[in-house]
Amino acid sequence: MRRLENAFWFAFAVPTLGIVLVLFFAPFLYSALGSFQSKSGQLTLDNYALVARLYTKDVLYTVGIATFSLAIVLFIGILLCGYLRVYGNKLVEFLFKIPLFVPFVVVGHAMRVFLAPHGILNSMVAQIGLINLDNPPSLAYSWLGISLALAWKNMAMAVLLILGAFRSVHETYLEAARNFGAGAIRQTLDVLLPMSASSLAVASVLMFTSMLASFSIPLMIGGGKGAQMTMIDVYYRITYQGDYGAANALGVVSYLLASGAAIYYLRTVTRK
Amino acid sequence: MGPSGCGKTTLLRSIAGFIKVDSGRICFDGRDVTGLPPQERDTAMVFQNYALWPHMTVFDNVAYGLKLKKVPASEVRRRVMGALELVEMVDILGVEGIESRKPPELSGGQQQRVALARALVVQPKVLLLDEPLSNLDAKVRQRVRVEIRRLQKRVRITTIHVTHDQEEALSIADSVVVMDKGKVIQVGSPQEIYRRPQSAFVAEFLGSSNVLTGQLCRADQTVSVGGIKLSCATAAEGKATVVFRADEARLAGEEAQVQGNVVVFQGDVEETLFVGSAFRHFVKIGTELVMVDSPESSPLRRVKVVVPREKVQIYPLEG
Amino acid sequence: MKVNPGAMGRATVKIAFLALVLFVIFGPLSSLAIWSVAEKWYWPYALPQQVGLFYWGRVLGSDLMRSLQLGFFIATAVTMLTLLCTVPVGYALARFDVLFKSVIMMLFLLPQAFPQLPVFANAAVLLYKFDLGATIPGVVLIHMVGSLVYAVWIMTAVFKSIPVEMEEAAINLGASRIKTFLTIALPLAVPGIVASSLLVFLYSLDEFTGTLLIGAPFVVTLPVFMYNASMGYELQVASITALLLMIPGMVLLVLLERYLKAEYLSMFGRI
Ligand SMILES: Nc1ncnc2c1ncn2[C@@H]1O[C@H](COP(=O)(O)OP(=O)(O)OP(=O)(O)O)[C@@H](O)[C@H]1O
Ligand SMILES: [Mg+2]
Repeated sequence: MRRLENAFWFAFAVPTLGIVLVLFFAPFLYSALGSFQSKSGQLTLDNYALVARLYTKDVLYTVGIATFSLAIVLFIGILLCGYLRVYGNKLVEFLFKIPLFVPFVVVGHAMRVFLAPHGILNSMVAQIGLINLDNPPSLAYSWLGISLALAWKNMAMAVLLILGAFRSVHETYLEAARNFGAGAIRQTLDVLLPMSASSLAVASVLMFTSMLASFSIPLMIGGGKGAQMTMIDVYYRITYQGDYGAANALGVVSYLLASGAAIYYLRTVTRK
Repeated sequence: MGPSGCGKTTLLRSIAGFIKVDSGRICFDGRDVTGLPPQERDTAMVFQNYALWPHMTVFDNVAYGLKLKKVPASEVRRRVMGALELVEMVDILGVEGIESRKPPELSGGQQQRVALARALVVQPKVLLLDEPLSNLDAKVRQRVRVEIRRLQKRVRITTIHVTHDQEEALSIADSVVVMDKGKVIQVGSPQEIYRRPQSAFVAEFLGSSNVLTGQLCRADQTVSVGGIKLSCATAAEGKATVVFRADEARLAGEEAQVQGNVVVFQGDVEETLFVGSAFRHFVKIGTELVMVDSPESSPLRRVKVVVPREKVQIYPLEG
Repeated sequence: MKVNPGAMGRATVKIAFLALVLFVIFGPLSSLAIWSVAEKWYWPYALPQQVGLFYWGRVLGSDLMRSLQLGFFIATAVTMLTLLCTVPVGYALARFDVLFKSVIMMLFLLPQAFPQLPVFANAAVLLYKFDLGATIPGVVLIHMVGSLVYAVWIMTAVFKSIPVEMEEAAINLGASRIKTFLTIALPLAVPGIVASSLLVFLYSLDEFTGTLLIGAPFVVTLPVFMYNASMGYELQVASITALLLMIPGMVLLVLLERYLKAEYLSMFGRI
């Protein structure tokens, strides 16, 4: 009887589960299998050899950008959230939520025109006389541009997560430190940060994986030449060369990069 | 002391400087500290929940204030161990335990001692304790409160100890402040507060008191209560509360002759309860129920409740 | 009145900080606004030489309106289907020992942790096999992969937050399971359901990766339209589209600001 009832409720999950299984897990496995197949369908490791030859640099480039962006986000996010937690500032808190609801493509486009050689940022800096517009530095179309755009977009999520963690630290822990003369920075580094370390680790893992897998931002502001982020490589491999084998092999590499994070994320979320 | 929500924590936090006061001044030893930030006031606080940082060892918790003051490492060590010695934690944990154990591993009583050591180690001018015993069980509480009192006498630091437990306040304080609804109601020595509460609220808060409602009459300078008239100097008309303690009243037979300057009510014993130290009789006087404690259970039904006149307090009700 | 120099210094720092924050947040977005009204702008001019609404007029009369309508249509379909699928599942997962419960939870969690693009590229192959490539149903389905995964978690959380005693009281009075669900649990869950529908709607409106892979070239929603314009260096058109694209999100931000909890927004880390 009890089994029957459980099966009844399971039935509700079938259509939902069906869509996810057919359109996520099937393609997921399909791409993993496809990465070991040549165009004619034979089992082979050629795709991985190709990826190793052509894309090793790009994979390192991607990890580098994700690491750098994460560092920016964490550095600013922790100090900012420390300030917001200790002193509070409704307006600044609201402003930092805005990027959350700006679509990725819009961020990509906005950063493209903002950071372009003759974009708004360079124009402004040139007004102060710091750079010469005849030979302007270009942030867009470079690793720095991608990192800044990713950091900008992820900052909102970071603030939400970090501030949430900081807010769950009871006021008295801060007062006990303030009692001895700890300022906002000391309170942040000595009390808030260590007391919310585990939530911060989860947040960092989430952001790192999403940066590794970012597609639309590098698509908009990545350079045409030189190293690319892996998702762009996957996309070009498919659309321009129709080479699913190599694209899937690169995809599997990206799964592996994300899987460490995925396991960690799964463990913490399911433990709750 | 005062009932829950009366503003004890708020007052303590104002003294520590965590809350800006809207008006009034706070002075330590004549020095005005009202505008000073917390760290310049030389106060140290022990929080209701202890607020020991769970990620730091016992040693680091206690050392934190000294490190912020840039005290040299060797002296930090000496003073931290000194403070922990004072609260008898070195014997419990050992030097090794102090350097490796973290607060969540300690019992409530031990955490309380560490919190005390963390406050004492900076040698504050004023020590602020916010219900430091409320998280301990009754037995430990009895013991620790004596220890706090001994410790305070030894280190000779002005200590403000917040509690809503009247027994705790009366037994360890030099001076008691009773608060209600954000206001200080009465200040005095424990004996004064206990014997001569200056308002119905204080009398009632100290417990075991009977509070009756009476009617003041200016014309003949009396108050009528429980079917009798008491003489009392009054400039006002209207209601008043009449208060006396259960252990200062006694029962007498209906027919008994009573001598001296006493107040006598007539009533019926409704119920008798054994409360450990005495028998508590609930006596119905008119429409009101009063408590009378006596060492023996009284077999009588109709009785006289006899209270020395000077033990009966009368407070006109405002409004 | 004597002015406290310390207080004045603090106020200056505070204003400078606010200015910096405003610049960081609105700097990139302001370039959209400027480009949207720039009729003529060549360097070395710091600002457009000629400003006007010419491009706005042109854009609003163009294919953009069709993309806008299409996007809203798709988002509405995605939201309704997602609700239909996830409300019962969320309720079941919150209340009962569903068969294979932990496996199901896991299946709904994993897609959030892995890169979408390689998966969607292969899903596109699959959809083309069923003649769903470059069709509206195909795009709706690919949007649903993302939204289902997200909404199941939210619905489960919403139903878990309703005390089970409320339902037990109804059952105790003789209501059937179904009636209890419809008259007690569902009404109490309405605020959570509304909030998450709005987020799903926004997700679908803003979705780019899947739409680009499955919808192109016939199903062009606003993000894809904007991408095409930007890549074709029609900067004014792209900027105007970008501004339009931001409106729903900003409206939602103002509406839902108070309810924004990190756990409800995981989806927006990866649009
Ligand atoms: N003087 C005051 N002026 C304004 N508000 C006050 C004042 N005193 C207390 N309050 C308010 O009353 C509330 C309760 O105060 P508080 O927490 O200090 O009570 P407490 O006596 O410590 O209670 P407990 O015994 O439960 O710890 C707080 O919200 C506080 O802001
Ligand atoms: Mg309190």
